[in-house]
Amino acid sequence: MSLRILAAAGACALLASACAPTSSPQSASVATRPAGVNCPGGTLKGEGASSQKIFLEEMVQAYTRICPGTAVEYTSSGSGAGVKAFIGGAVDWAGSDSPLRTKAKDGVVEADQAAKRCGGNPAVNLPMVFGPIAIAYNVDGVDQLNLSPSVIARIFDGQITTWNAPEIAADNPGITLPAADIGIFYRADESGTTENFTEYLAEATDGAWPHEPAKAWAGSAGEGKEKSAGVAEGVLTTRNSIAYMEWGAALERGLKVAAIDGVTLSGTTASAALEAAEVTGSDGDLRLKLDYTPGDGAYPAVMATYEIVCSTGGTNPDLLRDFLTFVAADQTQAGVSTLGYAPLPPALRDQVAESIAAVR
Amino acid sequence: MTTPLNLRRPSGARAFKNSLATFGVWAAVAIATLPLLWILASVTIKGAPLLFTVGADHTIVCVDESDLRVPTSQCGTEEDAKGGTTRADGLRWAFPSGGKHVAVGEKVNLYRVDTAYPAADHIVYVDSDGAGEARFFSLQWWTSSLGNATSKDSQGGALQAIYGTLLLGLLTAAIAVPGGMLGAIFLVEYGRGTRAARVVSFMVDILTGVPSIVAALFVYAMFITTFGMKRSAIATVVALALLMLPMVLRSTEEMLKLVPDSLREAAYALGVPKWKTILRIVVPTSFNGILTGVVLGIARVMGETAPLLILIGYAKYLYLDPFGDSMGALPTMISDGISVPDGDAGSDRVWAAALTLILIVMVLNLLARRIAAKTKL
Repeated sequence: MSLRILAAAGACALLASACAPTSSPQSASVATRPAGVNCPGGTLKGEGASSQKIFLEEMVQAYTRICPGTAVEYTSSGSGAGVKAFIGGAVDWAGSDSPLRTKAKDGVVEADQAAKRCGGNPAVNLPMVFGPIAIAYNVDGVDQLNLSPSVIARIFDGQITTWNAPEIAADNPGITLPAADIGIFYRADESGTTENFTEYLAEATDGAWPHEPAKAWAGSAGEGKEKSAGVAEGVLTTRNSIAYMEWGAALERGLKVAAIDGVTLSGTTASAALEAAEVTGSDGDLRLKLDYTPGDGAYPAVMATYEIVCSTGGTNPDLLRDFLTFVAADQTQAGVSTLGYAPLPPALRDQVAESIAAVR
Repeated sequence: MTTPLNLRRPSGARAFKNSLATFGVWAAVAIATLPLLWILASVTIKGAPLLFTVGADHTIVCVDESDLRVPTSQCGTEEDAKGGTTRADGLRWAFPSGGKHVAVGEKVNLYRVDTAYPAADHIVYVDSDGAGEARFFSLQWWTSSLGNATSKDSQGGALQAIYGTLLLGLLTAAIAVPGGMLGAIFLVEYGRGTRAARVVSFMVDILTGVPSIVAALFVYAMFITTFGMKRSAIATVVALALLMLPMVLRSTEEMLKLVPDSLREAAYALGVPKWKTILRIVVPTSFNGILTGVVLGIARVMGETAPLLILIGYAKYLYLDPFGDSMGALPTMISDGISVPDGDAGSDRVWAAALTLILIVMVLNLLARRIAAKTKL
């Protein structure tokens, strides 16, 4: 302990000017209140997907700065737990990587249960932000890696096992890859990221990915890790490894991210893929069908993350509407790509705003 | 004919067995103590600074095109940083939060880093070339709750979690202590040797072995699934009380057994009724021992995590209401922050929360020892 104090004191001494507060609050970034945000105040509670955690953390901070005295809690316990808590009435809204199921599983239909919780009114799925799925890798000396969807599928299925395999070399002319085994990490827990990633692999490759898309990992190769953090730490600490994860988890640790079919991952390329997304829900429900082969200049592996709310009859509707209005506003969405997310495309954002305005 | 005692030093195989036994004992001692010391040392080193300091909100550093840090003076002075960030030569200002900064030549992770001069209290212009950390004296850890702080913010305390942990511990004691004490009094004073006492004793033994997650599931199934109640601090308290009850009961029972029968008989001889004997003679005699058991029980349940994960939502804001459905607690604060990567302020908070929990439990343990030392039996 005393060592640490010494270290702190040492840092202070090094930064002689630092140990007294040097500057007073600047007026620079006093956020302005977007139109339609009225700050009704109170406490709002949400629970669900961990992929939205960083996004909502920043949103909550920005919102509560504009609306002092308001408290917004978001517990990131996973999509499944969030939907359960929402149906059970424990939280005001759920965050989820997949929309409410409309087909029966184990004899229950999530959408019907949610409608019951909302006093007979339907619950709506609002896409609020898009999370690109990054293929992060850790190979010394290789700063740029390009992979085609079928190569990705075959790597994660354990068919391509070394970095210098001819299939990978064909995607990366002029790059020397090591003759090392590929270490694969996947999500050991059930996760929306896995579901969206395998959905992408199944659709974008012509049968190269042999498994059914599901929340649980179906491949047989590699090592399972808990949560995005576990997978990302695995890649960070293991040489010659590769894994799929939310972009934010890769950015957070400075991991190298592979390009897919020559398209590098950025806010712009990910947003480009979303223009092709198609709304399949109705009456304010905005569940999406993503296009996994969007074509030139678009990063195809993206997932939509939803906020699930009661259209009418939910708890705390005024604050919920106000908070979501803030989250979906132009000026708020403009900043999300620095957090590792892709903003809503303008057309979809208008639809989302309309659905939010109808929440009562 | 008896063989004479061999008092020479053992030799050969016996010497080997002898030293093997010695080695085994000392190895066991090391295994028992070293991990504890290691845990204490690592938690203290990583967590202690947050208990009385806070990291700078932002540092000002200068980075080149490939995000490597260059000497800050190459970008200009602190006044330049306030002016704007666009520069022609590819160098740019960065304002990482949390107070830690890497050495010149190392890569700066610019994820979620402000590109404009931030609005905050503690902004430190880094003019040294080495890695380091800027901290300010502050007791915000104890006086403010986490609130809307993100994992990158250095501000943000643990008041809500400390309050939650203490409140849950006290409420649990309020349920488990009377129950445990009355049960022990029954076992020792009323039911000694009877069939009922044997059954109760057996049940308590089983209850001691129930894992905390099972106790939590039982409460979840009963209160939340069956009766349709919401998650709440009270439901958590019920689950924790199930865990604490056998601990209190067993320690109280042992203490009551130590009270000599002659005391009870003397009281009866003076015509004192049984209930009054128990209340005025038996319990006060063993009071210190009972209290020790209670304090140890509280310390034990404060560290429980499983019931909290299932029965109550983790909260970052301070809610005083024990009937509410969210409340912060130190164990859940640790589990909530575990996904934050090393180096961010949020990961320091995990260690500081662990240290705070250890400190609270340690204070309670010392208290129990003080009380036990005064026991005159």
